[in-house]
Amino acid sequence: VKPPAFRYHDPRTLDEMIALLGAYGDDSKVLAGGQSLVQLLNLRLARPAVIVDVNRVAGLRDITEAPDGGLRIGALVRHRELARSHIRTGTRRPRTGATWWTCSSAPPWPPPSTGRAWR
Amino acid sequence: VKSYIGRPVPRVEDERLLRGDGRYVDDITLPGMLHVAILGSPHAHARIRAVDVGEAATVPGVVRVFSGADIRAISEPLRGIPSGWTNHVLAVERVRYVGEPVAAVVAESRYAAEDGRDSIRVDYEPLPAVVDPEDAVTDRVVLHPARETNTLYHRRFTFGDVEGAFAAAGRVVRLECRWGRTSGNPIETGGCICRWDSHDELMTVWTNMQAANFLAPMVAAQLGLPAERVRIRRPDTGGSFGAKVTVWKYVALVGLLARQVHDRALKFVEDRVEHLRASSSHGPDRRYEAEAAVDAVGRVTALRVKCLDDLGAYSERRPGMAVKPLTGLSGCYEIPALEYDIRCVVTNKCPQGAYRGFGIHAHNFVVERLMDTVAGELGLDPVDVRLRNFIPPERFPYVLPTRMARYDSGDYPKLLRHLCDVAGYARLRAWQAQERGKGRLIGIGVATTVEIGGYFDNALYAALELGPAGPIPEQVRVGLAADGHVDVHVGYGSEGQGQDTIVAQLVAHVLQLDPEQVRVHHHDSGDVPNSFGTGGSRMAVALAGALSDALAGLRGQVLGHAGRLLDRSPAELELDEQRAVVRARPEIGVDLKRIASQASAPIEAQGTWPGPELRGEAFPLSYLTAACAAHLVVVEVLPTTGEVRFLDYHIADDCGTVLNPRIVDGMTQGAVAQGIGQALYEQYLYDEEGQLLSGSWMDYLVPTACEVPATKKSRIVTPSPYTAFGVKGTGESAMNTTPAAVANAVTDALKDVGFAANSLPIRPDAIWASVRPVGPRMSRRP
Repeated sequence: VKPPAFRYHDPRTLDEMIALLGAYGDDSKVLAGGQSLVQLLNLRLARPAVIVDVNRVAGLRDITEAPDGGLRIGALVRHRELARSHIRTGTRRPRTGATWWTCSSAPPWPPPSTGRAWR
Repeated sequence: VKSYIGRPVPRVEDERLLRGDGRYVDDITLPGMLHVAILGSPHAHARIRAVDVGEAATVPGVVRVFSGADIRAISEPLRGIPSGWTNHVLAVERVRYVGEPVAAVVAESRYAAEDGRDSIRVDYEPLPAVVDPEDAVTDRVVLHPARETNTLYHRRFTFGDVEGAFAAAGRVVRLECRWGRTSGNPIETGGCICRWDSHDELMTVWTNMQAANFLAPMVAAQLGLPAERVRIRRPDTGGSFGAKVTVWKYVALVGLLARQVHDRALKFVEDRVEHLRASSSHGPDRRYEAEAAVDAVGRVTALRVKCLDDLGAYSERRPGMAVKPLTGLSGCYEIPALEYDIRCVVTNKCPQGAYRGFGIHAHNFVVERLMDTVAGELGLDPVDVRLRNFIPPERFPYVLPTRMARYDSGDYPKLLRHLCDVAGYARLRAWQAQERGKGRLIGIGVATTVEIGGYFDNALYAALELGPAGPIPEQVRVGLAADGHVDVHVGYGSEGQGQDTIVAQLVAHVLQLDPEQVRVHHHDSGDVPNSFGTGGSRMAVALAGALSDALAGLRGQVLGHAGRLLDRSPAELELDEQRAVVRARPEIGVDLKRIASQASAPIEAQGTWPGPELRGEAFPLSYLTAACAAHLVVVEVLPTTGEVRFLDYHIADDCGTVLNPRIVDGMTQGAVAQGIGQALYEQYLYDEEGQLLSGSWMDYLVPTACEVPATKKSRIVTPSPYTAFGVKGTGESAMNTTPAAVANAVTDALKDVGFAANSLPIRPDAIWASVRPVGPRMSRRP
């Protein structure tokens, strides 16, 4: 349950990050949320020589409206941040957050036909 | 007089644990503590040619490295029943399942221990793996050459005139079932810390092992120590469900290593992968052939069940789970002739341990699927078939034809009718017909069970020809402290069942004081005279019995002292609101604090619950109580995905007098979750080489809150005539019932396509394939 030794980098800019990933190639793994990688490290199923932690890289964590009405979601945006965001993507569309919540986390709503809720 | 029996008192255990103030074995750090990492076998079956630990020993931080050869020099093979079917705690000569411990590293940190483990070189000669139990039966490859066969246990039990009943039967209903291999998967994995004190010659063990006191002598024997040289301490435990009984093999391993590394504590805690593949806690893994002799009105006159149980590689926990069904062979039904043919084989898989239900849960699935199959073949309603076969209420106490259990009391027809009323069964059937007309695949499933409680396995020992086990009592000590509190000294461990709350309620009830005046003290092994602890739905029965005994003694002493202080006869006195008062004039009295502080001798008493009686019969009684439960499930099957959704879930139970409905409901809901896992999601799947395919929680699917519906619970109460307060053991009933109820509902939903959910888990791909011809087409290929 403890990872083997690895080298750790936490670049601050996109250029720095790209340079590190370019230099180490397949010997490196990107650490973002860590939800999968950290488990694999702890069980020693993944053994990268280098971990590139991208959490401090500027410019990857924004939610912005694109000029064409689309939405640009940065690679480091957490599900929670998106769910709580209030950006509207157009007058006839629901709030982004509400949409995301419905798409990602909703429990299977019970069909109401038995006449009572099961929960 | 205030009654504390039946009150939904919030659990006294919870606040501390929910605040994060629990102290689990992995939270304990002792001065100078070392860490152990275990190297598991990558092969399901292989000869070990050589283990090279040379490089590992040079890794910084590594203290010592052990292999099977080191262990063989200092200990016997792991104890098992029957003997001769186990390996050493580190494999010697052969490995027989993936993950079997081969070597262990002791190091200054877990990091260093795992680095050391990575440097061990083992030379294996792979052998053909036996994965299919049908293949194991042929003895094509024998796992334990000294035994000459893979069949560890085979016996046929016949009770009554089975042949005659089948010959006379108007109809024989047959069924083949499979019960998938699953396990309890507690959120805290197994672990221990062992410290050998060479000055005191004492092994101190901190562990979350279930039934620790009971197993302490076995651990001592494995370590080559007298029982009094091993002291087991129990920190908080995060669940077990039987899975932590086999933690004892880690205690044996780490204890042996600790004796080689004097005066430093050694810690080992399983990671999840180790727990899934090598904890020896897998549950039953069975193939069944069952048949019922049925008369024209749907009464079952004889039942034949043939079971092939895949025990995995070793007999670490004996085939007890395979013989326990003898204590509930015909479920809730009066079936005069019974036959049970049980064959247990070894295969190259993780050994079985214990899992909630202890094997009777798998058997009950077969009985309940069979009842629905009888209903289907005769065109009867499954509820009617059950009502026709139930043991009638006037037949209690009912001794099973196996004579291995006596059901104490019950009213099964009343319970099932109550369930149908609460759920609105007739309305549901009408609504189902209407919705089916619209094309929805709606199914309604009913299942019932008896849950026998008040363990101990006398019958199982007899069935396994091990001689009488002897009763396993539960003892407690109680005392009135000078501050007016009541101290209760217990030896049981607690995996989360809430028995400290039950103790507080029972004391409050008998002594008429506030539950907050009760302090429960947990003791190390050996300190409380005789305590088995949790297992076999035993705690409520055992504690009600032991505390009634102890508190009768304590109450007598309190009233005696109060009588002297008040100059009254104790017979004139009673206890009320932390005082002893004159019954006729309650304003005259003396409080408990004063009684305790002026007593000339300690006010204390010991109480014993003796356990089920031993009688001079071939099969002595194993269990005292028989609770009953009935489940009614409404599901919808989605033809496009094969998914099963729960629309409604009703449970009615009768577990005698309920001490705390909140606790009973909580245990029931947990067992429903495990039952749904068994029915729809969980399975240890092995490939043909014996590699575990579902070796992480990514693949071994424990249901989450999203997959488990809130259930609607209600009950009737038929007190037990044999126990204090009329309580019955409960907590496992939903393990017996949920898989069958879900399978019956899915079968009902898919009756038009003829899909029978006889194989668990019911996989969505199997459902999908069965409905595919009638379901909507997803895409059309050119």
